[in-house]
Amino acid sequence: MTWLITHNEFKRVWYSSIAWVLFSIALFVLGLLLLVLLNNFYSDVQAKLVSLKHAPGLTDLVIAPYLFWVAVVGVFIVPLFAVRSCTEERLQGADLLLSSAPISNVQIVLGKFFALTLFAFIYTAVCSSLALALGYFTALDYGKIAAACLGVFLYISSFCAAAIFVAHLTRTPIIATAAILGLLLVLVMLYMSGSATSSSSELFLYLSNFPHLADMLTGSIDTTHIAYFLLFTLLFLCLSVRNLNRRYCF
Amino acid sequence: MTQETLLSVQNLQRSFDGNEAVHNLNFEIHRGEVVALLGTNGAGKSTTLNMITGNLKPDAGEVNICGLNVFTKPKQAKTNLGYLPETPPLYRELNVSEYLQFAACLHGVGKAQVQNSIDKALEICGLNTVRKKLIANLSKGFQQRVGIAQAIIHNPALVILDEPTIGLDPVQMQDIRALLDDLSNNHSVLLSTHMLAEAESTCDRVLIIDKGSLLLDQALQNLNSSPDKRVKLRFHGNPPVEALNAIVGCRSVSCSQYGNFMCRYDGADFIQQVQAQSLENNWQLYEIGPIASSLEQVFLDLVVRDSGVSNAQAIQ
Repeated sequence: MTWLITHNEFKRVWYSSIAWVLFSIALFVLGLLLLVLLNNFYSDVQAKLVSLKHAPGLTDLVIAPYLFWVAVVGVFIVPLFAVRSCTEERLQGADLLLSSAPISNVQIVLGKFFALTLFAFIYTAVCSSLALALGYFTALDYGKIAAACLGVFLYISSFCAAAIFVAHLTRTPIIATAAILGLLLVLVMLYMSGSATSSSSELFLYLSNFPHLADMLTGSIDTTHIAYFLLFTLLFLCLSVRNLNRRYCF
Repeated sequence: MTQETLLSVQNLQRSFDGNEAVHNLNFEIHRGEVVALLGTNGAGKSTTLNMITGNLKPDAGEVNICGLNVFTKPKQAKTNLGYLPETPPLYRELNVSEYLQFAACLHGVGKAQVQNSIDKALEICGLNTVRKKLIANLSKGFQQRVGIAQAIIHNPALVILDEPTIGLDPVQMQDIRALLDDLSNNHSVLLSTHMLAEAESTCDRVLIIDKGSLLLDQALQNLNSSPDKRVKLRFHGNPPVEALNAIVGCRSVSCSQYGNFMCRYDGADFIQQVQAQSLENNWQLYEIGPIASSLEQVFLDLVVRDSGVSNAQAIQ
């Protein structure tokens, strides 16, 4: 049943023009960004690196920053699909189809989460392929890129879980979207507050999802980061199920 | 012979912010019955149906569908249930067949039977001509039919329909009523409506609910056999209410501020007697007309009178 809901949600995402429009805009913007980063690398940075012994390469100076922006754009796109999948569905009364069917709230939440995660996977894969195309012209550190891509995917998909939770709280799409972006800002603020010299806090840094992504973008795969993203996902999925359990009988 | 109980509602209660929406509701639906849940807007019909279908948690009470408790065994209980909420739960970006396929799989119809179930539901609901059309592009009447199709696609024992004809034009309403007639051959149906004609034409039994309380649970046949009839009388003269009350067979008379008399009577020759008295006393009777069916009469008596509005005012 979870797969059935995932399949239906995923199909609905692609049946709407909004997915194609957002995907096209994201690819266009990220393509331009990659071009700017490359241009900057060849015109300014490359010449300065010649004298350095262990100079960072294209992977560190172009692809890592590019993937950072892939993650940032991704977490701005995800809320829109979470709102569409949960809040709009509730607004239109279509949620009653699922809640009246012989399925559990866990299956409903997981089905929607996997559909968004699948979207996040395709988004990460397509955007990464733009960067990987550079491999035809120069040597890339594929290990680092794989770690960074994994980081981007975990960062976006874990935020999908948070977006699903928030989107289930209200039946007004604009409020849901604002609340999800608000949550994103809180996480960024935690990072800024935790890393400020006057008020640095390891706890704040750990709680924010941003430093975990930043570390993985440098190519390091630390189980702390993987565990963080998994716990973050699990927490918000459980909260979503709890929220539905309070609303419906299950 | 005892009838199989498909739905049993016991002591159901629900409040919103201290306002009691449903109060101690008790009723049963047996196999093969078509039951109307009647009430004015805000009477608690949709709240009741939402609780029966497991979409709203009650404060107290129990709901059993085919003997299975909706709150403790929701998965099993919902297998026997088809539900059309007030707003059909449609995915507008899908076409009719895709949507029904999803609904069938969601309700546990086996892979081998899915296509058959879809074809059957399309046939019953008259959707064959629009099976490949996007739901968003269908008229409201057809969208309502798609909603009904998803409720019956898994052939449930009990179908619950919340105001299925609301917002439809008279032709679409007629079509949906004909569809309800067909449904009643194979399913037990609980139909929520505030349209009395709809209930009279399609149902075996009526439940009248007001302010969350059940006021009446009676077979329609028994209501129709009630000896009381009502008639509206209009005179150019101004006969005293007492004079009309004194006519043999008259049970009660009320007069509106516009001079309309509403008489309840049970005698066979009451009308002839009114005409005779009118001639005799020069009341100048110029209009006689039946003003309500039995169900309407009962409904008005129970609900309208209860809320402090006289019957005569209610029928103007």
